[in-house]
Amino acid sequence: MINTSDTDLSAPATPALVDALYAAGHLDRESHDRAMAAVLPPRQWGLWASRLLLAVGMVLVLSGIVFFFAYNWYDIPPLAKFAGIQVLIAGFTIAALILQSDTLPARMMLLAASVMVGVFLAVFGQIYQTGADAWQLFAAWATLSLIWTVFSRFAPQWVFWLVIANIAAMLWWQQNGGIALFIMPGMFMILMLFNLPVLALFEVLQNRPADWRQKPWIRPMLVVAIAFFAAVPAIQFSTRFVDSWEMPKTVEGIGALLLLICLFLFYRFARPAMMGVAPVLTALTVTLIFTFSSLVEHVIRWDIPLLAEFIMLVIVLLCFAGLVQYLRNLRSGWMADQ
Amino acid sequence: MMEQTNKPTIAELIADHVPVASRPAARAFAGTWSAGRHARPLLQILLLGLGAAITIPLMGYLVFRSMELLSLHAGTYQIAVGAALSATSVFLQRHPRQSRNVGEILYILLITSTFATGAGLLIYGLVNLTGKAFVIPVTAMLVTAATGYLVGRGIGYAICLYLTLVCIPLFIPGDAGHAARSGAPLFGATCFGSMMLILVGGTLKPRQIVGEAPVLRALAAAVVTLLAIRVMFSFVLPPETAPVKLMSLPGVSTFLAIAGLCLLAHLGGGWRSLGYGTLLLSALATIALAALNAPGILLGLFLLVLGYHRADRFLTGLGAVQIPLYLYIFYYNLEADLLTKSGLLILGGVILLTGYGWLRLRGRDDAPGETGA
Repeated sequence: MINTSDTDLSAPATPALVDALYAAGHLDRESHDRAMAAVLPPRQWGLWASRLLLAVGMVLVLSGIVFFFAYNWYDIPPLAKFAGIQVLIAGFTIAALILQSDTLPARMMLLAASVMVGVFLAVFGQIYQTGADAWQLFAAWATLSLIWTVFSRFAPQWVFWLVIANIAAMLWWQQNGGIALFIMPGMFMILMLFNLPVLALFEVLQNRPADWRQKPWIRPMLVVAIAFFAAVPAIQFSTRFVDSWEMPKTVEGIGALLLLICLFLFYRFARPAMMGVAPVLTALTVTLIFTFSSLVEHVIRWDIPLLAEFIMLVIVLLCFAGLVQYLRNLRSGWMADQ
Repeated sequence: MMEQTNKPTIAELIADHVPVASRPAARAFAGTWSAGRHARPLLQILLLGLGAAITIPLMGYLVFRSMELLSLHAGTYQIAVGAALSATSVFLQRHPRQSRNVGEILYILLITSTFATGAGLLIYGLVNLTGKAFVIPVTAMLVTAATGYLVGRGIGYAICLYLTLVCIPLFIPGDAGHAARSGAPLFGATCFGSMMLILVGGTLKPRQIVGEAPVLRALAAAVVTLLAIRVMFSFVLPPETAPVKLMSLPGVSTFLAIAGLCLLAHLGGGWRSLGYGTLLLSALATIALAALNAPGILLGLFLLVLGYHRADRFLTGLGAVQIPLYLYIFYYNLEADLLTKSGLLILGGVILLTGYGWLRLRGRDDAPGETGA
């Protein structure tokens, strides 16, 4: 049992604790409201609401425009469709120039213009039946929208660009390798290598004074994506190795495993970050589970299926319990160091 | 709308707001609460959820395989094993283990996975015996009520159960899978209703509802997870699967709008506040979005507002994820053509942008920090 006297009551109070004290009867209704007001951080509702309305409103309008052109209304002449989209691209860009370039509305306008570039390319393909592959559409979209992206100095727009570029790379691999290759490690390797320099750039920029490139959500987003892309070839490599007890000839798997280990060491020692360590370690844990699964299959050969499945169940429980416990200890250690 | 600057410590909070006579007990409670499972970081909760999500199908598969090997009658065997697993979970929960070692983590994983697998098997066993879809929501409600009575975490476990029910048809085709597709939306709608109650609770503030903030998070997470599952399996699932049905149930938009108005009234300090300024505009926008029947957008917006109000990143994140997921599903919704959907979205967007323009006009967005995003 926990010794509550050891608990540090000098930690900051949270809204959840206030609710818990109220639910347990230690606070009355009035005290609850006052305590909640004290623990909630300062907020600027007007500013926040205006940002929310602008962002969600723009998302809805842009989605509506995409839906409209996806409908492919034959009664509208092609020229009118092109003219409409081009007017929107020009309009959004001019609006961004008129508004102050560093403001959120201006950046949202540039993002909208980037989206419209994709709509233009899609409608072009609809009307002229160019026969172009899907990856070419996304590649052209990524290339053309890079102009707006660079000038926007806006982290969400870079994320948007990155998503388009990733889809282009994925579709290119599928188009050139066939559907079966979707599950092959090569595609994930390409995606991993494509995103790795972006993560490296982000980490390099952390040494500079704070600016728009240093949003705290960028690291977890990139690390989770890279860890996922690396986990697939790593799992395939380790399971094949256990199956045949021979080193597979492909380099993707061992490269992915090495990368995961390097990332773990980097975020564990060089630049301590929980949101860097956790995704990488989770990918390694899942790889380990699959390796054990292969090993169990190899050793028991499913002659005693119930035993094999029970062993796997225990392995999964132990691996995840170990992972969470390790991260908990690591967190406690880092907090103690501070 | 409350504005404060310095965040107090737990000790200061208790000294400032708890009556003198109750302070020792409040300190002891806060100490246990902070050190216990309630203070578990979000990352650990997510990893525990991932671990349970892998364990549940393994456990279920083990039961199904043993049933085949022993040539047992499916329905009876599933009911027996399901009841045994559920009872084990309840027993473990009634004998909590709070420590800082790996045993505690294993304990949590076992409780969650035995409960979800056990209750899922129990329900499927009953469906196999009766062949009726209504058995699913009825049994799920009974299991939830019984668990809630025995261990006091009913709604949270309902979510765990609902997710299991929705996911099982992915692995089990045939009659049982079909029954789950029919019954799970009804159960999900009740979960949705519970969430409405909790949101409304923001205004009414009965003690038990305010104290159930984790349940609110669990429910919100369930809705968003369901949409995510639907998107991830969009090439496998038929269009009318549970999440889609849930989001297009008649009245969901109305429920959400009512809950949203309650939330706005709570933020403004009373119902009268909805008659003026920004809150009047927000209330009108809420009603307009409900009239456009865009429940996913409404839910996303309320999660964002609630997350900001409670300084809860988890709810804010769910709200931010909810909107694009809903838009993706909305695109493939067969109840309207793309042109109609396009019109609805543009209209909804224009309503929100009008609100933005009005705020700018009133100079309510000129606070420092405008340039960050």
